[in-house]
Amino acid sequence: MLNFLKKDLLLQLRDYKELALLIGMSLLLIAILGFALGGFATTGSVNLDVSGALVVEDDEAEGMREFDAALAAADLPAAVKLQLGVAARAIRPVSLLREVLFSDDLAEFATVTELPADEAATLLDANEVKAVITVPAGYTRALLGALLLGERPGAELDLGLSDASPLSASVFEDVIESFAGEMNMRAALGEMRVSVADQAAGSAAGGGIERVAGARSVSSFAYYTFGMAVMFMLYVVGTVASRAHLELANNTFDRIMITNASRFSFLASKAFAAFAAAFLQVSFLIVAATLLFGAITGQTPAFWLKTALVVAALAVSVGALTALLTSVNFRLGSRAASEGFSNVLVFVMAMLGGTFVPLDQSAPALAEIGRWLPTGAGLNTLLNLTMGSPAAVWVPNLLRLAVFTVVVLVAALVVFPKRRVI
Amino acid sequence: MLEVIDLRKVFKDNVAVNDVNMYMGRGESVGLVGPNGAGKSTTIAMISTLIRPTSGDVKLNGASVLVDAAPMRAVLGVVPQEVALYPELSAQENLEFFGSLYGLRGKELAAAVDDALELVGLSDRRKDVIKKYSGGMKRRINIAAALLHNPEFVIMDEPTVGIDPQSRNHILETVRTLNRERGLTVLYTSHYMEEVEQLCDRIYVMDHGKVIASGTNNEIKAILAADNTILLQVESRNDGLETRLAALPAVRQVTQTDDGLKLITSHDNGVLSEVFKAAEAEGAVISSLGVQKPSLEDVFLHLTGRTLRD
Repeated sequence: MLNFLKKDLLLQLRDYKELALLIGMSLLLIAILGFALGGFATTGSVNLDVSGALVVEDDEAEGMREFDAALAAADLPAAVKLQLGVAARAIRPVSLLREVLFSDDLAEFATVTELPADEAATLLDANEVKAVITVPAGYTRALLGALLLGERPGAELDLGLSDASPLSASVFEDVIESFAGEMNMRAALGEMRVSVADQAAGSAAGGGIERVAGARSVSSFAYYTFGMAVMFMLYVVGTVASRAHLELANNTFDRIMITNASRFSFLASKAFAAFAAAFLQVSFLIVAATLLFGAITGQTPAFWLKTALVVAALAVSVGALTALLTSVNFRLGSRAASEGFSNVLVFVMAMLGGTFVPLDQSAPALAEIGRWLPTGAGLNTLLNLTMGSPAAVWVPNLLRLAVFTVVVLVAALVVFPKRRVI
Repeated sequence: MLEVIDLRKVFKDNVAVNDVNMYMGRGESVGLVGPNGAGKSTTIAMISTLIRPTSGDVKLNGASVLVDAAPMRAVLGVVPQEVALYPELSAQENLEFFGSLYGLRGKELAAAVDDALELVGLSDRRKDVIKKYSGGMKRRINIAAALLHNPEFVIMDEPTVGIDPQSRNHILETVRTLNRERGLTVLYTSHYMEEVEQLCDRIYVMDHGKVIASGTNNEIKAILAADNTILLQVESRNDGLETRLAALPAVRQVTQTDDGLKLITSHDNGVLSEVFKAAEAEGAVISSLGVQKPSLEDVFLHLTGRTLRD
């Protein structure tokens, strides 16, 4: 088997044009799509229909009364207390948040509904809303205290984002970040101390956001990096399967069989060669896109390890597909299968899998098909990992990928001819 | 000893090989000749264990290779008609790969590769990729790849097709060396009868899936021992002359050549005068006339009505 592998890898490495095309094209597309569609979620210039929910557990009036009481008890000059009291009334965090979320400007591309907590959670799980912004009880008191009295800890809004709609959800993340900036500005205009939220740490002096589990947003560059990666890895299938058929056509396969080598060793070597090529290609693409475009940033070593494992799982599915197409080519005695796959099926699988358009914007039936393909299962898993989603969210995608791989491998073994096809 | 017994291969309703019987003793050099479509390649594919016959058997030292192909594959080398190499790999890489499939490793593999390259005279070009080789050089590496595991039998399927004279001579010399100095049993197929005459101890002639003649060079030529070959050069083509000559009783066969006609005739002293009379009657001008003993090519023409290259 090692001799087969060495031979196939040498052949692949020496196919410079193919390598350059696969990697160059995908990087180019990432750049084009990433720049062209990079701001679409926040500019409102693209036809989006994102929905969110607001849950207010805080009593703003009660918070103001509590702040007034704290202010009265504070050891500050009366004039300062007066100023702080005026500033507190200017800030009005919950009222201001409502103004932002229900404004005409936001309504052009996002719809927000104020709901009870349990109802909002249900809608988020069902992906009927893309984000839930929760104002916890005591928010007004804590925020005013942090902004105006320097109290610690600060106040945090809870932001729950949909795992299935990372781009749509990022709309609300941007809005809340703007709100936090507004809070700080108002505090500054009130000549009070300004605390800039430490969003990554999840704790903030004021106007901060706490990200709940699985709620990290995904940039368009990251989305299209993964999208292009899962699409272009499929071209490895057609390339390797066509090259395998060439070995049949130019009699090198016969020469191999005369040595008493196993036919299934030959088939397995094609699968391994495709696995290796796909793994290296996708890995290179992700690293290159991160370095060139900053596609994926601020992630932990654990994220990169999980990503490597997912890429390996995807590469295994590519190997399985290669084995199947090689088998079909040999059965038919032509390269029709692999050429048809490269020319047509790759694009179809990419479309169904969400490479160009997120799955949640596709018809439900098509989206479900896409989730069972390597493109859809792989893309969703990578996006979930980037968002920091828990394992319960992305493991089912990997299981679908595993089922697909096993089915395809079994089909390959069944279809591969036992005898020479004349 | 290798035996082919009543070998038959049918593809749908086409009988490609029709009850072929052959044998090869150890150390023999045997030729298999026939035009395109005669069934040579299919016969070779069955002997090589690449395809199963419809009926019949192939036996190696008495054991059927249809039951267990492994013993045959261990001692058989096949030089296919097409160059079966990886163009993007070097000669050395190709040979190392194919040698490894025969179970050769490490120093044993390196020595086998060196030996094979030495035999075909390409040691100094071992690092070059195959696609940079000339046609003749590719065919030489094609041969080298069949010899790595030191086989006892070698099947060479038209190894000199389409190559330059220098490479052709090198290949013919290689075959002689393999057979006469190393004792390899060689089954050699070719369109070039003169190669078969030079290299082979015995010859099988195939046409339409059947062996139509077999024997040594002299035994096969003896089929036309009673005949003569007359080569007639005429100044211009004359179809009437061909028809008239074909009608002569002593003339068995008339075929067109590049510059005239070739006649297979019986040993009839009057045949030459009949030829001249026919030419005069048709107004054909004979520029040259020669009589020779029949060649294997003539025998083939006599047996099949075609030349080998038809």
